[in-house]
Amino acid sequence: MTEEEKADELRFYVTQIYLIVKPVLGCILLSIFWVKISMSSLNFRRYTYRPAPSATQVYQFTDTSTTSEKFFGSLANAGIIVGQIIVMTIIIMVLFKYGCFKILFGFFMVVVVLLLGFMGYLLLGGILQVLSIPMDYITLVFGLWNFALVGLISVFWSKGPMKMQQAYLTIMSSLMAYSLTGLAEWTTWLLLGLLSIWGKCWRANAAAADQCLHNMLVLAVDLIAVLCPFGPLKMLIDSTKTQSKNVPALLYAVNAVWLMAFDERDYGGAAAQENTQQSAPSAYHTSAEHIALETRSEMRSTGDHPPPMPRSTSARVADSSTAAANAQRSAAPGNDSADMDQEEEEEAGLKLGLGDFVFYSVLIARADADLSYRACPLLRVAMSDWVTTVACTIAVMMGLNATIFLLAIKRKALPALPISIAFGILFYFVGSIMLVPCLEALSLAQIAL
Amino acid sequence: MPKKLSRMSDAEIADVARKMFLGGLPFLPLCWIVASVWLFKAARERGPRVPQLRRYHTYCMVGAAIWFVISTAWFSIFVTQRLHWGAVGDKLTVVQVKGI
Repeated sequence: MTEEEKADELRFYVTQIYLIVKPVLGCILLSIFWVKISMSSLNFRRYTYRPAPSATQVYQFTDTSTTSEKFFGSLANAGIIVGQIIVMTIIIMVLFKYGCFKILFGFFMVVVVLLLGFMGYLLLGGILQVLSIPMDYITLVFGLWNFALVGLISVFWSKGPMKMQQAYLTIMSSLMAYSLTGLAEWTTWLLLGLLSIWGKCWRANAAAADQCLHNMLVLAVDLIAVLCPFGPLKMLIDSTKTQSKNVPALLYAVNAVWLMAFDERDYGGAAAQENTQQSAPSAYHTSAEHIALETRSEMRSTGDHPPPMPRSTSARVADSSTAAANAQRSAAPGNDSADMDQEEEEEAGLKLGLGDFVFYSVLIARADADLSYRACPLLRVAMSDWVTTVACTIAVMMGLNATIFLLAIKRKALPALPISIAFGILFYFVGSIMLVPCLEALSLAQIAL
Repeated sequence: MPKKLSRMSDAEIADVARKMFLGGLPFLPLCWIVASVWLFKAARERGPRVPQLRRYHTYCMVGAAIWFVISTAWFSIFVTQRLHWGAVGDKLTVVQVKGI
């Protein structure tokens, strides 16, 4: 690769980083907002100091429980979650294997509606309480009905407005993250720690060819499959190979999000690249676990219609056949109207799994929720529980950027979680153990740094 | 994945407009609001060529406006009158507001 190509590629990454950082940051800020709302609403303050006690949490912590009790209790809690995940993966695998795609889609739709409707109701209740808004049930039900159903339409309908889809996926991820903050502190940390380790194990074990498929599977079950890369998932991957079918999946690309049975023409998406007329040498596909690589040809300039491409070309992620397909495509002459279905495929971009969104946000929302009740009263006036929150946010974003940067260098599929989560956890503890007491002492002594 | 609006063919965009209008019928004015904003430019540009698009876009805007009037009217009635309704008003309220 020449120097110029390298420079081009780095420029491409900078644009991509900016495009991917916006929604991630949005998701994180929304999660913080939900936590703050629920912390300040009376119900939560009176009955519990946790934002939303989770139903999956069997072991309840008390003030008298010892450290070992806490540890094994949270192991049990995390184990329950992992167990649910395994069961779900098996169910999804069976459905997939026997080709019950309608049921799979139905399942996803129910999940989306429930998430938007139920969590929307909980949080709206919090907002109403905090702001003392008199609201009647009729308006509330009407509003939630609109919110959830339009969310369903914009997420699943392939022709709806893209901005809506992106907005809804960001909201959904933040709601999911918020619902996970209900777990006890130890459980969350164990879960996050295990996650990043598992990501690495899986990375080490997986053959490169498996990864793109794994990406989709991971996304397909979103949170579910993230935690369970072995066993059933492996079988699922094998069955996708033999049946050459693809799984419905949730993906946030830089410019688009999919939830559909993948086929190769669904790949790509940097519509925003269209006007910049820059070259997009590669597109990367990051999933809840991995960032895979897909080679892409040059972007075409504005107004130039992409030529049709035979759908049979099985240009998949992370292999060079895409390049071949692209070469073939760029060679073909432009065609005005017949190519409407295929034109998206020219577009490239980073794609980030919703699982990543969720876990980045969980970490920060969790830190936020912990500190809100733990920080000393004197400092809370000074809003210094924000110190750790902001430190964590920056750490996570830094991890994301570092991952994308590594991607540019290694040109290989990379897991998106480990670096970010490691940085995030590190900065959480540094912030809460060292930074906050330091600020406390400083503010007592009236020293300004 | 969602397509850019400017890349849809006339027939396609007309179909999208129709579907969004029909989708908004079951008490989903938000769908109409989205459609009116999203299709606004396209309806202005392609309106003369694609009458169906313009028609459904107008329906969406009118529907959204009607719903806006209805919901605003209802909510203002509720907020100002709920205290006079007594028990009924209390039952309708989601979170009892303290003070008033």
